[in-house]
Amino acid sequence: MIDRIIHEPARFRLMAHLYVVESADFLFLMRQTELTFGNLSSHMTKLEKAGYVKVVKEFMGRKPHTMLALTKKGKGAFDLYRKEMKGALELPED
Amino acid sequence: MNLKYTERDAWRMAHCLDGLIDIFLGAVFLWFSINIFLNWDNLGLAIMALLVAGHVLAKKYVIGPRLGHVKFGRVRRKKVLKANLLLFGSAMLGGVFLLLSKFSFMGLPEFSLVAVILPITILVVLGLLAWYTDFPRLYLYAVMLAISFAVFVMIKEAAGVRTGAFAITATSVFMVCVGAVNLFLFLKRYRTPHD
Repeated sequence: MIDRIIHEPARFRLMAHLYVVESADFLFLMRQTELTFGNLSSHMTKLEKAGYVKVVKEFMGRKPHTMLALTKKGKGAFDLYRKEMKGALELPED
Repeated sequence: MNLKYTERDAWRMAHCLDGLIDIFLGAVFLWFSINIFLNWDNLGLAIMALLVAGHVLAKKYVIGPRLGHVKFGRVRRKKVLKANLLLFGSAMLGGVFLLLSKFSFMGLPEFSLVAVILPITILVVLGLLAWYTDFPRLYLYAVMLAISFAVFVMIKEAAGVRTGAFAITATSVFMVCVGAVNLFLFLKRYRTPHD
């Protein structure tokens, strides 16, 4: 069964970008995915509610900074999604 | 969507797109060639420190607020470590090379040794650095710098050191210009979020 949360194109892009890096902040994800602030925010909320994305608070110098990263559950869900999509698109054998 | 390319594009966006590295490398070689004309050897360290500080500050205060921040994974960090080791190794090699260039080596006159080894070293080191850092423009710079250093060594005997240095000056000015154009396009495209 295809994961509906990841299957949505914008969320898929977000998951893919977070999958290949350790963490990224909101602005970097905006630049990478070319989503608007509002769009990104609403998709992030859905991913966070599903437990796929976590918010990491850290300090950059003296300023607090929010980074986003995939959770273990999120990584597992994305791996499974990749596997299922590969299987779904496979041609039948002769 | 290819995940490998996604990671590479994120890396290039974070480190190569803004043109700062082109400006920094160009400025380092430009300083080298200017120094041939002016012989300001005692200013070398101060100029290098100024260039590094300028690069770091521009990255932090100009690029950071426009692009955001990212931390790369283990594979990328390994590549960066390899690039740093390569830079360290090449600095060591440069020291050995400098010593060798002072003497005749294996019966070869100083001129042949420098003309052959220096461009090859530049080509190999910058080529590998381009590979490890996924920075395609660096391949072009590697070839251009290798040629300009070969030209410098070959014509400095006949036409004088200063004439020879023009090849390096031209290449480094080209690098700075490419960087400036990239920086301009970057600043035009990515404004700070509150602009």
